[in-house]
Amino acid sequence: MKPIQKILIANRGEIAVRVIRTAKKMGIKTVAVFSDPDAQSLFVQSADEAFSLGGTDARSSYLDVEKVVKACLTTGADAVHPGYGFLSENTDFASQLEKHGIRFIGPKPHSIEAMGDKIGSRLLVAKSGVPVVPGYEGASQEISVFKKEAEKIGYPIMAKASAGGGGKGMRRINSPEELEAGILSAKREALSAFGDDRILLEKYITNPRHVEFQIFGDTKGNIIHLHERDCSLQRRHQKVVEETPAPRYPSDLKTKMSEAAVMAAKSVQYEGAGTVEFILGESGEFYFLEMNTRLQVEHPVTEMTTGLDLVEWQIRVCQGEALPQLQTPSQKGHAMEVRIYAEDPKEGFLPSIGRIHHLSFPTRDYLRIDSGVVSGSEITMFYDPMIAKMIVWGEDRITAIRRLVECLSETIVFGPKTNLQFLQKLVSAKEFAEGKVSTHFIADNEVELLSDNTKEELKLALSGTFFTSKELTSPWSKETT
Amino acid sequence: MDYLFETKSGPASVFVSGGAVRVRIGTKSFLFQLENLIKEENSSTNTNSLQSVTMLDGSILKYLKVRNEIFLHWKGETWNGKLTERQYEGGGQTSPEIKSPMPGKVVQISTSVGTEHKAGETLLILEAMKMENAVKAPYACRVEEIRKSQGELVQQDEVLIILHRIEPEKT
Repeated sequence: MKPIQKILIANRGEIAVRVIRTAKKMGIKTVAVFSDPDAQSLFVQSADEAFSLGGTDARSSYLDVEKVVKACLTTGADAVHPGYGFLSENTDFASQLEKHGIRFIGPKPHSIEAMGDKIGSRLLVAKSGVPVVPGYEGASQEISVFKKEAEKIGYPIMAKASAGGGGKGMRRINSPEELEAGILSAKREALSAFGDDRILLEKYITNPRHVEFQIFGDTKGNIIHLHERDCSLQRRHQKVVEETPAPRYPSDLKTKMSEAAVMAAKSVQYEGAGTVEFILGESGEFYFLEMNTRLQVEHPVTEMTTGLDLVEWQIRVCQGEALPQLQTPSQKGHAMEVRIYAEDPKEGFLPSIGRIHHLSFPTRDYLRIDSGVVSGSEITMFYDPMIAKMIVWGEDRITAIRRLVECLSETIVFGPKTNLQFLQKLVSAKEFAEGKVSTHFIADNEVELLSDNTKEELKLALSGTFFTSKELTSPWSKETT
Repeated sequence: MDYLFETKSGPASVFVSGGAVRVRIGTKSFLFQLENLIKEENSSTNTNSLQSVTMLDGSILKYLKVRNEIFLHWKGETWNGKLTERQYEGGGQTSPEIKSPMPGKVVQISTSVGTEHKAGETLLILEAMKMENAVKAPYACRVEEIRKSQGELVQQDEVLIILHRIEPEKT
């Protein structure tokens, strides 16, 4: 296969900058595509060429398959890196590119399709022997049947509305005595919310952790894993902190889970970078959740501990090269990543838009910042308000935590509100240091995590003091003093 | 000097006099001595850049002023203070922004960034319906930013100029 000459990055912001960095290192030309609000962005300036898609929101720009394909043909790009989000798991886009002889840096459309459907992928991987959350999805809605099935699954169980979403029609049932009342109440709620009272049962995982495996496949049928990431600190199912290796994690469990991850990837003849996600129970039982068929936001923690460049691997695999090694590489030290967002934690984490008057990060050799904005950039209402990913490395987990807290506290963002302080409190929490957090931790501790250290009146006093102080020494102060 | 800041629970007044700062929020009043807080202000000549201050406990406080807003970063916390519009009261004009009173064309700009004006001095001339209208300084001020250029067409209420009010000394 001919080596790739020119990559078009069908994405924006931090991930576009990150892909451009690797392409440059490999001597490959890059093309950025951009919408109107992004015309002055860092990623547009970083690429060798830039192509305007027009439009403002994602739908009329980055998500418009026709426009992006046209950009490839116009600029003569022979490959597309989709980043994550946007068109990264869009099979129509991947097929369109294929038709025009443009390479899609990602898995084959059939793998994306197979893993895209939650129930379908669950059945598929279960067939290849990967554990899935035990449950009952049968047609019968008789209480006696539910009772029998619940005994088989084991208590506590979760009754879920078949048509459900957003936590509606969900009941936790702890014992056979609670079963009938729980099912009936879930049914009532499901009927009023969705007009459909069908219920399914699932094993309830107490205080679960979210652990995922980075996997990689090539065109020769080789698939290996590149260790796990623990993403248990979540807020409303959005990851907040990601780390590797997973804390408090026996090595035999890791072996079992990594084998399951590779099996899941083999079930769809996977090529390129992917992630197999598991939910991990308190007593070490684990179940397949889903597979992401793309590079992920948290891939840098894997890179920090293995010394690999996963984007380079993606590009090489796409060029038809075999994996450089068929053994899982060894991992050194501990890495942690947080996502710094322009959002207001005190206002329900609503996005906080506006101009970034000042942005600065500390510089350390153990710190990596992946960002798509600089001082003067604008956070707009059109896209995800992520400012940067901060990734630190330490010889061990405690060192990594200490360094992360320090780097967060030295990061300055003036303009929009951010989650910086919230993140500092979160990673400083004793439970986190002990590795004892589940996916419920943030929700359970929100009040403490959102509190301030400096009192309002002191903040005002300092604001007033420094508002005046420069005027007194400024060249224009003659009249006022 | 007396400042009025916007806070979540309404306006708060901050009075800075020598080494003392008095903060009043609602009915509560707090007094701070600057000598108990600040060690030294690291001087910088550029008023538009980040300033840093060494505090008595050795910590560094950084701040940046952007028009009527100040951003502070101290001990890992970031906050901002926004002066309320009452700061700019006087001559009927209450905002730091001079807006176009009507749709028209900027025919002359009679000021530049950094220039100081007394109340009533002409800042720019706007032509509309073949008539020239002088836009005047509503209070003693310094021009912070000029948003429009000569010959440009403007809509009603578009921001033309942003001012910084020069405070009369209250002592």
